[in-house]
Amino acid sequence: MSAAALETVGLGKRYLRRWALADCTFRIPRGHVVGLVGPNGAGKSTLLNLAAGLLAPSAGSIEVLGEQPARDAAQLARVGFVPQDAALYGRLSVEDHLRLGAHCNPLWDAVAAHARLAELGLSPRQRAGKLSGGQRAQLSLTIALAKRPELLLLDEPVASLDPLARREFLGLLMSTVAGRDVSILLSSHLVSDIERVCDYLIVLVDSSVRVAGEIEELLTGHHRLVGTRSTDDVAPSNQTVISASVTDRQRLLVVRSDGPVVEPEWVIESITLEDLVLAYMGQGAVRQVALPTTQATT
Amino acid sequence: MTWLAWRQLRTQAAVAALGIVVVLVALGVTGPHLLHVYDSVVVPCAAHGDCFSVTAHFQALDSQLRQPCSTLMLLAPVLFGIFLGAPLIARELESGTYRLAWTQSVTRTRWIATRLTLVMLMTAVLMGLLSTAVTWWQRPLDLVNSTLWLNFDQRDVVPVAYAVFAIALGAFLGAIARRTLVAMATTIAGYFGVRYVVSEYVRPNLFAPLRASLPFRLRVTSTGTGTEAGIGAPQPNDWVVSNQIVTGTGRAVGENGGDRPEWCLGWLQREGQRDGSVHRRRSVPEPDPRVPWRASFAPHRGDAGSPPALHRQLPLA
Repeated sequence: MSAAALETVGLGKRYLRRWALADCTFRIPRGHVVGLVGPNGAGKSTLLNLAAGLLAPSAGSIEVLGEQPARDAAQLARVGFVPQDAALYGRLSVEDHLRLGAHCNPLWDAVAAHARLAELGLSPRQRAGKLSGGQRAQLSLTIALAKRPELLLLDEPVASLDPLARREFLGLLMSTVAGRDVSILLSSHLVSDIERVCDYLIVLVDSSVRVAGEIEELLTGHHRLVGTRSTDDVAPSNQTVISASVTDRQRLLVVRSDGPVVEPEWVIESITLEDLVLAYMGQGAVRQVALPTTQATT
Repeated sequence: MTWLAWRQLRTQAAVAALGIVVVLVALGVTGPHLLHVYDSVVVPCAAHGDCFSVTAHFQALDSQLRQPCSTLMLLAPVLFGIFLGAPLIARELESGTYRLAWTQSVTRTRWIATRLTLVMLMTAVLMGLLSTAVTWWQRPLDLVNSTLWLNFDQRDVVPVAYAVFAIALGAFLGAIARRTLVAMATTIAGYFGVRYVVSEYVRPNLFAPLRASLPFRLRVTSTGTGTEAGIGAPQPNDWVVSNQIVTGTGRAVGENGGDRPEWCLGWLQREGQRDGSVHRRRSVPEPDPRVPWRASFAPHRGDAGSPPALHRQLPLA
């Protein structure tokens, strides 16, 4: 039995008095592409930095691939990290960055790294400081991938990219790792990025994990209930209400249930990933949608 | 890892090496002349005794190079600290590149150890070259200098040690400040602060000073008061760290010990004596110039019957 890609128990990180991450307990099995989603400042970067071993936990514990992060060189070799804003040495050339990787990583795949750069059309002599945002992200990813990691951590890899570059970056990421035995944990504040590539979701809000699980299971296990304003007093039974909102004409609930939902007072709809994430973010399904079924519930 | 450490260092290393080469050339061009003058003028004068004017003239030679040399030996170590030490960690933290550096298959401990070792090694080599050259160039001048202890931290291995210290200080402050500019500024302040404390408070107390007291006679004339013999260090190159006038029983005269013989005039007047005899009580072995002396100057009431005198005693501590 292999260890989890990432396992935390009561994990917390405090900056002075503020807890950036508090009491996080979850376990991500290997082999998933995990999306870590949450609003800005929710603690996504903190969690990824803890996983990369750049930060030490203030409370609880974290294990990456069954080991304490950054415990030794061997553990570091198993994890690839693409930091936010693609931290690169501005004065070093693209080529120098590959040399850096080759000198600092025993499992370095120089052939693949060079091939990838050629594919991207990056000139080896170009200084990293003069690259565009997309190119920087790609170079950063190339370095992380050439380490041949078992787990790849990406901290907001596409946050600074335009929509086209985002699509390209994520597409290349997925095609590169296709068929390779690598787990991926990628953070974003945009659900659309996650939806495109991930099969596992973690929602992080206000320093704590709200929900974690395989996206498919989450989508089948959550429902959107639509009722009129007068269905107020008819609470759904055996459901966990994630969010509730009221508009002029209707009431919307997002509920979690393990079995089939039978609620005669409510119109039951399947939920989109975005609605699900929004519900957990505590914002509720605030979009006012005039549904044709509104009157049918009465 | 060594590759990365060297790659991040090599530009600064080249600039530092270039600067040092310029200094070496300047010293190499002027040094032989200085040596020649010393051999042909200063050494022979010792034969006919009066060397004062010759020495003074010799010391004025190349003064436009000597002052910068002295300044350079004070400043060069801190320049290494500012430009190599301070950014070592601070720049990585500031620009975020630590996230790249620390997530390769190299532990942070090895990362910092490799970088510090390389930077300190290079600094030691370059500073060693510079210090050797300056020490060689200054040697003829040092031979006629009577305040060598002033130059102690500008010769031989001491500037090298200061440079390595400046690197460590810069790296440490950079890790705390996390800002390159702040680290640089605090490195300058810290370096000169430490140098001041070391030269003012640590160096004089590193070894127990030799204590000596010499008798002297105070002479009061119409123009003022003076001593017959100069009350200074027993030997040239002695470093006088304390200079007091004390009574024969060792009591310091006046609250501050009265470091000038004139100041104890009032005491002498009270004693009813204004002059006495001068004699050096004992000869003092020539000390190492780096060992500080603590001289006590003692107004001394002589044996009964003989005139009381001011004694500058120099008993070895």
